[in-house]
Amino acid sequence: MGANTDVIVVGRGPAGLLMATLVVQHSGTVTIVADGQGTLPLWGGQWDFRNYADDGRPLVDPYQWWGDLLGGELAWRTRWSRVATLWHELGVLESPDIPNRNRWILSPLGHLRPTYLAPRWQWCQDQPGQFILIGFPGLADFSVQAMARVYEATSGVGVQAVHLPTPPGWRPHWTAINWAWYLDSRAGQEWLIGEVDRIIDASPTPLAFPQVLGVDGVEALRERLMQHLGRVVGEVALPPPSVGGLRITRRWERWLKHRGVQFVTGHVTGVTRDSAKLANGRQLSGSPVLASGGILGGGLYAEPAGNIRDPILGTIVGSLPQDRIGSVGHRQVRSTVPVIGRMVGGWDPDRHGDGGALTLWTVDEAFDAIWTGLGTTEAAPGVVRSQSLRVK
Amino acid sequence: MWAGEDACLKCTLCMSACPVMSVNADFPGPKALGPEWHRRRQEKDVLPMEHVEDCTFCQLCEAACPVAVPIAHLIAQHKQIRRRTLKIRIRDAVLARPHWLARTAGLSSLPIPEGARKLIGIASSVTLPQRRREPTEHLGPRLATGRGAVGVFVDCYSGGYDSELVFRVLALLDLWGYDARPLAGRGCCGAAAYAAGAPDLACRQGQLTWKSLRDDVANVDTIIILNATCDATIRYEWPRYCGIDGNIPMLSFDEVAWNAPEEFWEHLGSVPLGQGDRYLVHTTCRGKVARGEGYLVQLMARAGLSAVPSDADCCGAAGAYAFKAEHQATAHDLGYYLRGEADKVGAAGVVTDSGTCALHIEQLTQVVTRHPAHWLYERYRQYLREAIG
Ligand SMILES: Cc1cc2nc3c(=O)[nH]c(=O)nc-3n(C[C@H](O)[C@H](O)[C@H](O)COP(=O)(O)OP(=O)(O)OC[C@H]3O[C@@H](n4cnc5c(N)ncnc54)[C@H](O)[C@@H]3O)c2cc1C
Ligand code: SF4
Ligand code: SF4
Repeated sequence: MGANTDVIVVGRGPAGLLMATLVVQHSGTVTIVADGQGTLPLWGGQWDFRNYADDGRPLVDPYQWWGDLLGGELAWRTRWSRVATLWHELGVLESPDIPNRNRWILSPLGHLRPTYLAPRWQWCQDQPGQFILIGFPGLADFSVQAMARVYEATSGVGVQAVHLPTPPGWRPHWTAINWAWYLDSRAGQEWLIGEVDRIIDASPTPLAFPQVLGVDGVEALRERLMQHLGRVVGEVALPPPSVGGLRITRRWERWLKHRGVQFVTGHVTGVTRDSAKLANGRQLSGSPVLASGGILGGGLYAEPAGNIRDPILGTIVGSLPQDRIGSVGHRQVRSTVPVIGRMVGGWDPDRHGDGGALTLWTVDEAFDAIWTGLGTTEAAPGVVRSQSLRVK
Repeated sequence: MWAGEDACLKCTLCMSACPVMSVNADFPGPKALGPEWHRRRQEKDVLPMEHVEDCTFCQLCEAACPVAVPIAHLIAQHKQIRRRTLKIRIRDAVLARPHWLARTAGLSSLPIPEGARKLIGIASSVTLPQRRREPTEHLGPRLATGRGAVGVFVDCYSGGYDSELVFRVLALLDLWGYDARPLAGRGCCGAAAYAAGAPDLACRQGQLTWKSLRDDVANVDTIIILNATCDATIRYEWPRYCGIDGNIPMLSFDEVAWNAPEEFWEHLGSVPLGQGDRYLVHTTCRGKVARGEGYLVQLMARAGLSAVPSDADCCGAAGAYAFKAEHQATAHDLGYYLRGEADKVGAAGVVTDSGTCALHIEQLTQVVTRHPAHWLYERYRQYLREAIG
């Protein structure tokens, strides 16, 4: 049971979830099989387009940087609006419009750094300006004094830093996740609103919090804070465990489950064009798509000679001219099984800040590659099943 | 010892996945209690950390881990070294042997007054198992024949408190053309003991149960497991953690049900869906970790019922966890999430394949919570009433 769906997605990181989303939005059936959670809960929550040039300089206009590559501006705008619409459906309130250029978020060290699409909870600026940093007890990754110093030195604008006391029930081991769960509770919310009100002045200066304002209840709490304090409130994403990515993961996986997507726990040891084999001997049938990541295991391995080796099968699944490694990886393996996300070799999202773009583009291409003759229209809500879709 | 026990990358994905962290501010979390504690104990004798026992052994941390660190199993070892009073040791020794309780179910079904609960460390307001008495009716002519001989592994809870579930399963299997018989008194798979931090006892229980199952395999083609936790324990935990490579042909109830004769599904599909006939489906944490999620929803939908998946990660029952006084608040807060869901869905029933989870969920949601076999049986009875009169 559940062993026969149109598509089998191997991996439940951002690429796998996005692929499964496209399939259900086109009324197809999908099984996601994975042996781990994938990296989405580690994300700050923003989707990067291209943050840095090859020489490490921050980029202002990612559209210009990509130019005509990978479909050009029109294709990219379609992809981004898909993410924004999806976020809206998941209940993540995205930026009001798809931005035309990168925006600036604050790093936990106090630097401004670029990103592209960020949920509204994220602290975002178009240019340096005044704000108040709210320090939380015990959060080593959010040292407000140091951040204020760095921000002032690099942007020339002075910012204020204030500290919250410890709430009742606080423990020294609390990380961002403990704080976020606490602030999902009514007691936590009342405590926060009362304390922030007490320690800040009456000016309309915006407030920058660490990313801890709740897990499932962030929008409601942020709204209450803004109403009560009469100013803009945003969050700075912290190093993992990053609550922003966790918020999106939870909503996204639930959204998929409520649309009939099957989640199978298992380690895939082999795939063919129409099946996947698990380590426990089970077999799933459907068209596999490999979304098995790279940073935490997996990852297509691009050999110096240009051979692309599949870590699951251990076989060479394609080859590339060296200068193209990365930009066209998964097209080469179209004749076997599509590959999406971080598994596509050659990209360096940690250095270039283009992990979101990598995910979007590869999923788009792979979806194109396996689906044809889409007789149905987009996004039918509920569990809608149709066998009428043809898989190439 | 175990593969992956020292592989932790400190990525923190396990912390994002841990349900206890979401409701219990004192809980140090899987990374600190599992791999970090394990690394420290390599160097020197370490004391147990506070609140290690608040871990429900749901294993959702392990399912999230990119490098397969046996986090929950390390925590079970960690639990083993904590110091407890004699009173708690006695209580835990009993609760780690649910087959004892099952054998004396008549006795343990008696109400325990609040004062006595306090004395023996039992949660004050939790519903304790009661023997269920419901008649099981015959389901009419068989829809198929000659599908082989199957044995139903009767888990401790069903054996002691819910034998009607076993009778209903047997009635369904008979209807589907199997020669089915219960494999009663086969002991405990060890899940409760492992969860409570007694891994050695758990594996000993597993060994004994495996031995008696091996004798059964000679007489049946397949063994059918009703309880998701036993299923996960026997199929995935025994081989990896107890060295029991029990290569027994085994299926969980839902897998067998899925292969029921087509006619069965046609009959169920012909029963009109009543107004508000919506069911909330909770896949147990252990079921999620061992197999995944979605199969019970699919089964209920195939039976013509409107089934909505629950978003709760772990209900908090966790075998005997919810019965212990010190876990009352955590177990309540974890399970209470389902209350909101049941209200929102307007659930006529909740579906889950574990007796203790069902008991806990039913108490918190106030909605009848039963095994999928119970709902299939009820639906088929409804078909018989409506179609045949
Ligand atoms: C810490 C961190 C923070 C990041 N933050 C951001 C950010 O804020 N914004 C942004 O745009 N990008 C971010 N990235 C982007 C990142 O670089 C990647 O683009 C992205 O994480 C890749 O996702 P994926 O879905 O391809 O793979 P992964 O997320 O790695 O998922 C791989 C999946 O495959 C499964 N798997 C692997 N092998 C098997 C197998 N054999 N059988 C079954 N399952 C298997 C794994 O269990 C897992 O579920 C971040 C990355 C990291 C590591
Ligand atoms: S998920 Fe695994 S690797 Fe990551 S911190 Fe937890 S135990 Fe370590
Ligand atoms: S087994 Fe469950 S409760 Fe225990 S640490 Fe892991 S996720 Fe948390």
